[in-house]
Amino acid sequence: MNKKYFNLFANCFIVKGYNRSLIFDSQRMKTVFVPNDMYDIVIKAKSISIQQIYEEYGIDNKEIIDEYFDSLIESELGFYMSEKERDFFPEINTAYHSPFQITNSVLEEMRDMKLYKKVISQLEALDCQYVELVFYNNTSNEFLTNILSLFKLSSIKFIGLIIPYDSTKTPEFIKKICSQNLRLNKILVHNVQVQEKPKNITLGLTEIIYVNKEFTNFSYCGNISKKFFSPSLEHYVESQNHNTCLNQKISIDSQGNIKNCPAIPNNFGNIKDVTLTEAINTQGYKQLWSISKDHIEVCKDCEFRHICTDCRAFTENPKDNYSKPLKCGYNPYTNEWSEWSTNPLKQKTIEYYNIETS
Amino acid sequence: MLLIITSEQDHSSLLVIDWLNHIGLPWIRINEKDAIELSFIENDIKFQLESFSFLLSEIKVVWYRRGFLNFKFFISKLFDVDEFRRIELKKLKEYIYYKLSQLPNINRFENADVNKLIVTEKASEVGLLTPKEYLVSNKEILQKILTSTNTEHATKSISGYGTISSDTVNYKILTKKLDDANSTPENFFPSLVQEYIEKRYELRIFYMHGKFWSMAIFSQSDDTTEVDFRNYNIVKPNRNIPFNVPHHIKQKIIKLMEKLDLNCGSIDMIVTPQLEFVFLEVNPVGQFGMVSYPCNYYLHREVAQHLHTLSHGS
Repeated sequence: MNKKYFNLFANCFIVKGYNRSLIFDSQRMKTVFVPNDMYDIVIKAKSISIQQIYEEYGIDNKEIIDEYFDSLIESELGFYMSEKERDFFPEINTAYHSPFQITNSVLEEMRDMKLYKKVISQLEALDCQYVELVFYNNTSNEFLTNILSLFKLSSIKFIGLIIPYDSTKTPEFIKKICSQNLRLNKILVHNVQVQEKPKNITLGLTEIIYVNKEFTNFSYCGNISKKFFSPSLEHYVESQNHNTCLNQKISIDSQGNIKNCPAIPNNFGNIKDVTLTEAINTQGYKQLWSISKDHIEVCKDCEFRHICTDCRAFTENPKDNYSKPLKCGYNPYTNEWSEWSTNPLKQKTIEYYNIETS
Repeated sequence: MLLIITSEQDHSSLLVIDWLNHIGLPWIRINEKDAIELSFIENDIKFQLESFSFLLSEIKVVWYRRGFLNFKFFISKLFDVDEFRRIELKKLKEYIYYKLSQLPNINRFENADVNKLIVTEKASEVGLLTPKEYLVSNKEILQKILTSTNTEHATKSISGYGTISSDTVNYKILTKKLDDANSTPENFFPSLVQEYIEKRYELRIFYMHGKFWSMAIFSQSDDTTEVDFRNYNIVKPNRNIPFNVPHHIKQKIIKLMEKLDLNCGSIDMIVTPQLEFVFLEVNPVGQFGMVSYPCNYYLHREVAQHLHTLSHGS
């Protein structure tokens, strides 16, 4: 090979953070930390040959440059190519498109059957694919069976169920509703106050999760953690210009108010008075959809920003739409994780939101 | 109105329909298993299905995705009459497919089932490199082929058909390297033997009405996928990344598609370590989701948009 070039596989993305960079492999769903020097070199390699990089950095640095590229080849994150091949390998187009107006929705403490019928047809009109039904108070098995049956002929493809535990929520009952409702892809049972907490399992396509904590309002949500990282291409693409939590989301809170999220105070009318379509076309409804991590304070310096989730309901500065999620314990300036709920600097805000942090 | 001819399980149809709804192009979907009754009304043909009906004149554009139209056939008790009617129906079907093919379309039923042997010949006629191929049914001849050159050889199915299933076992028909002819009988069922092409990467190209969306598959770093990438390696999947096919190769592919009278299809190629482009095959009804997702091409959207354009007669 006359002139050698290095190319990161187009589905491996390198994201520069304050102190270090992250390469995440969206195909193999893996992440690797690399120094920021390496980030610069990898970006340079997009336009110049390896020989030119040696020349630019000085021949003294040849060894370390070779080491960088070899380690990326070794971990199969990139490949060497000839000059002729340079035109062959474009980057992935990161445009995000969706045929749906709304992709996901949250219905909080909704109990009225008639209202369900109305809301389901309004969600269908918006092409909604996923509905999360959230309950804090007791839900009888009959009630759950009845509401799930309302979705039988709907175009909504997936349902998530968040319900409190009671002794009738036996494995048999859970199994039964899963087998009768193939749309169910998640059941989360909270307030499990029994000696032996049932094990989390996956039944068919349904993920079943049990948690001890009792959920009494939507402040259970919004946690930022490594376990929610999503190094997928889909997530990366959406995260470029959109908020990965609120984009194309609609919620109806326990009072019937239509909101971006049940925990965000702003409301766009009550379901009694306005339709969901009217609400999302109200000025300001879609404003939060386009707040991407690149715009959010602190997050914009974080190497995890394109694999991370977000929360606009609970932020460090409740008055600022661009403030860092409150429930994030990561500091990209020190690269340390700590418990957010005991951070003394966050106590005032935790109190402001009235979040229980037991 | 768009007519979609497909099979019930085809996921691509569903995803294209999501986009058609978004665009606002009305559609009718017929699955292979839906029985169709035809009636002829003056200058029009009525298609009656279980829960709906439509007229041929309502259809302005056709997407032949896969499968076939399942016309009802009424069996009388008279064998000879049935034979006659079958022949008549065959010609009627031909006529219906012909009428549909006169409309703007993405793919047509009539030429969706290509013959690999013919395609290879036509590909080399338009100047594409193709692997040397032999049809063999005799041990001696096979031995001669295998020993005559230094290159290695592989065998693959002629039809492209991928499985043999019985009650107890399923066999996957994959491309397999041929080392020698030792285990073959003197005479055997005619088989396709192909010169083994060393590859730097494979290409999967989705072609539609002159446009290309291509993906390179790097599979060599891993022994399990060396001959046939369908031997998936789940732990370390092949690298699938977007690729730009050079202009001169595109020109030849367009010529080939014109020769085959295909306006859409999935094309397989190999790029050798010397960066030669070798044509392997084209599948008009191949899956394109596997090219679309890894490269973020939104091919389902492209197909829907193209159908929309066709329906407006441009």
